[in-house]
Amino acid sequence: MAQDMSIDDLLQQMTTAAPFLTGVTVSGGESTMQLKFVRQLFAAIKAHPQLSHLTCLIDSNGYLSTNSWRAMLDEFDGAMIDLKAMNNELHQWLTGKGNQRVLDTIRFLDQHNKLTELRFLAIPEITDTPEELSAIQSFIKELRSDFTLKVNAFSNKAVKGEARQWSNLPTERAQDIKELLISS
Amino acid sequence: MSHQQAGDIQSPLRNIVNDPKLSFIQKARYLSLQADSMLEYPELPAQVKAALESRLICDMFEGHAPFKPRYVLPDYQTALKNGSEYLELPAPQDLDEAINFLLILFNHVPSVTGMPVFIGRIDQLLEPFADESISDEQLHKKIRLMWQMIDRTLPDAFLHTNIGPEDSRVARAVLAVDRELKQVAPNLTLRYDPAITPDSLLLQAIENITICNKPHIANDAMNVADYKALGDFRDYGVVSCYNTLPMAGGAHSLVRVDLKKAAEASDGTVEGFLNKTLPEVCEWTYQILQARINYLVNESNFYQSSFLVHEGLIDPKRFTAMFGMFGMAEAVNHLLNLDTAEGYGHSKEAQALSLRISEKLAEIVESTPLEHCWHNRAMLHAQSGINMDVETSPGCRIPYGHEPSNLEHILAVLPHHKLYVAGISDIFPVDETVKNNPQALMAICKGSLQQGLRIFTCDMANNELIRVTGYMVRRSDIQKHKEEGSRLDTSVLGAGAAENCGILNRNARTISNENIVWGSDLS
Repeated sequence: MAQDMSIDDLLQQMTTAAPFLTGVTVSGGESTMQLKFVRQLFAAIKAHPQLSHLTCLIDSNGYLSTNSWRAMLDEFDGAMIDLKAMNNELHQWLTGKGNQRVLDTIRFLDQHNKLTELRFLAIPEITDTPEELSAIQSFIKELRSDFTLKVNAFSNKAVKGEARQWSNLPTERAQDIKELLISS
Repeated sequence: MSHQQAGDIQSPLRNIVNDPKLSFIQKARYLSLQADSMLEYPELPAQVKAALESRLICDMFEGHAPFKPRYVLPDYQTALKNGSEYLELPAPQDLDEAINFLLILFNHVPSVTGMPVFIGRIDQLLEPFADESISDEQLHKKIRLMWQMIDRTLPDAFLHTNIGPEDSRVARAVLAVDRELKQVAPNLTLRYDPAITPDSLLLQAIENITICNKPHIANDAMNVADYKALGDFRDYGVVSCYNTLPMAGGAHSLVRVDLKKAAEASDGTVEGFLNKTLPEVCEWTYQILQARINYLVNESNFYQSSFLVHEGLIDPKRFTAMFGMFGMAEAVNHLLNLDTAEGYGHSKEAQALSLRISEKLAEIVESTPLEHCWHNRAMLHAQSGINMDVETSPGCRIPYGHEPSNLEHILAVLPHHKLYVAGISDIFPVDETVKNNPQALMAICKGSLQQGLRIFTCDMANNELIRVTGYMVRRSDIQKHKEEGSRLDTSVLGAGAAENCGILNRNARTISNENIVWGSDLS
């Protein structure tokens, strides 16, 4: 349910809640689809005496081009990026698009210490295969910055279409995958 | 009672004696309460007696002949230093002796319940004894045994201990043991001061809250400042539910005003309530307090005979009286003719009136003399309710089941906190999903205290330990009590609170309630 809001509307709400918060994260949908607004909002937060202590984070699918990330590098504190699959065809099948831009985004943010969190959605027998996990493990080894790795367990409750037939991933399995991915 | 027939006098005693659900200790205690109620009440004018009988004013069933103070906060530090002649115990020399000394002493500290409501700042008391000869495992085990001893021999959830604001091995061990055992006793408060308490200690306490709804997080800097401003500062303690009282003293008595009944007894106008009804009801409350305190101080011989006084653990001059109030929400909604769902906690107009009422009460309490009391006056307390309160909310709380979002809730009640120096608490119901994000709960806790909340208390849905009014009860005990009784005296009260006060209906709220507009300033 979309609604139109101005920067001022948001600042007013944030000022009320600010003493209880450590930061602001814009999510979506896809928050970078509203990039101009996000940049104005972050600039306004950083300039506001009651809000400037808040960290400004972006929750994104990673499709934004590295040029766009570069242009706003000083304006946000970090981003949380979803990685759906390492295998490009699998990624294409899952999302309708290849993963090159996502991988570029992750590498770029990592190099500039702006990768706050990397998320991997583990779907039984689709993305939790030995090949996928091994590929992600190698990819993570290349990254140098201090980010949080989060392995989300797939749940068929909040999805549509074919995905409803996929089985749920037990939370213990997600924990095991996380340990596997961060082990060197 | 003298006009009653012997059979009438005996039957309540007989019922207690033969009750299948009470233990022999509970029977002895109930018999003593019954005997106390057979004595004449201290002399009061007829209209004041009528106010007591109609329950416009409530004396908390403290009894007809007060022979011990309601709340006692002994200076345990002095006891550990000097030993006790009365108890024939020398000053302890190591951790085992210190724990043993305290466990013995606790059994000699009275309160309204007959068991102590304050067992000290346990980390400060034990830390000097927890030297390098004691390993972390040993310390954990000793605290664990001590916690079991307290819960099994002094089974009363009003029994309260404090830790913090300093970090210490004992404070850490206490938090670890408390979450492991999930006992109702002792009640626990972490005193938090952002300048002193490390985040890691606060986070450990917050994680405990997500597991067992304990501890309370008290605003130590605020309490210290308020107590220093009063003068004659010798520390304070958070005791019983969340009462904040002078250390090495306590409270002689607590009498509370039912603001709902007061509002209903007024002419129905705000000005009539504030300028006529409220001052009059307060005056009657003072008459009750003074009569009870006079009896305790002048007739009962408690302060003359107690070894706690003789050995310098309490000073009769450091006892205050608690001027309690409850039913703010219902009083305000009555006066403004608002429904519960749109009333106090949801409306700016209701908040403004509630603040006027609190300020009026604070002004009365600060300016009304009360003999035999610390600083010659009472202290204001938002009373958290007793198990027979039906459709009347504790203190300044928003009615259970009608709480707004967490942030609106905190912002609605926060301005009251500075006025209730002897304690106020609001229970913030949080959704159990916060277990996955204790950092968020910590941010809210810190923000609340920084803005002037006196104490931060949560109740997470579905935990086995439930916060009743300020004390804890085990969910399973409520049902069990109905069927077979309980070894815990407070479970009896908790079961009553569940039936009468709707504590199980609290509105759980998620921390990040995206559909709520925070800036909408309680309209």
